[in-house]
Amino acid sequence: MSSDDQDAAAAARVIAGDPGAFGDIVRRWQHRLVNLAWRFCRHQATAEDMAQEAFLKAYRSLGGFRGESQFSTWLTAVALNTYRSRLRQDRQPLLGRKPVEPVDTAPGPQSALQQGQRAELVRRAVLTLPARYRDAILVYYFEDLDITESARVLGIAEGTLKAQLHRARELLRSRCERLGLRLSDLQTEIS
Amino acid sequence: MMPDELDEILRSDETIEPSPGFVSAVMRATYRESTELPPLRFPWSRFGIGVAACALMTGSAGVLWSRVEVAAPRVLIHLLPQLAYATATLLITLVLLSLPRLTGRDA
Repeated sequence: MSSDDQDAAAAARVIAGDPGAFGDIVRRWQHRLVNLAWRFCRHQATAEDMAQEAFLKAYRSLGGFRGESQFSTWLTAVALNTYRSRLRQDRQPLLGRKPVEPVDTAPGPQSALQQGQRAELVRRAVLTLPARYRDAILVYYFEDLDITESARVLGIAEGTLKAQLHRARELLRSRCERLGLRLSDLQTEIS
Repeated sequence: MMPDELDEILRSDETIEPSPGFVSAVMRATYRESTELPPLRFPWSRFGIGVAACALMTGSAGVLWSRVEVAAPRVLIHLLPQLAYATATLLITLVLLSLPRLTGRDA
């Protein structure tokens, strides 16, 4: 039985009045929803709180799942909308650690820790982008979703997503440069 | 900055593992949700009847007003635009005050 079939079967049991069947769905998708939330807030406890909210929202609207898209796409879209609402309610990025600050890029030997911190700064700079560009980047690079599925999750056309990704990368590059980050410095950490 | 470098950084983001108690916490919330009574729906039918009755009464008042127009005090006729403006303002204020309750969002 494929994952989609298992999800469809679990969803049917939940709709028929067995809330316990929702546990199968939560177990199967907890990693994905918690990690997507974590990309929005970079804080584990907040990410789990957001993911729980997303699962509850999915539980409430399970009857509305028509099977027109894959269950994973539907669930990710529900989660994304939940996280967006949460960010709007809080009216500020849910950053769990220190805010993004300029870093010293003086030449010289750099420890792996410093390079890791620089990569983290780039990822956190994504959270300072306007919402539509932030969402495009977070969803597209999340678990290597392809353009088609990312566009479905975001509820936009593929062409629009491509344009948003292009603009988001440009903005991110200029912001990183303003923070004193040169991406070539990060190459050794990534490779 | 090369586009490929940016792609690599964004793609190489670390992942976290949900806490061991995460599933049970979600399921506790789910069971709580399933045992709770569903929220009361907005009584649209009664609201519709009320609106229709108001419209009917307003229409009737208009007809009556036109019939007794001659007998109506002149000063009241002159004040009609101001009265209409005040009534509209009052109605809009009431609607705005009721919006959070109607949409189910308490302040």
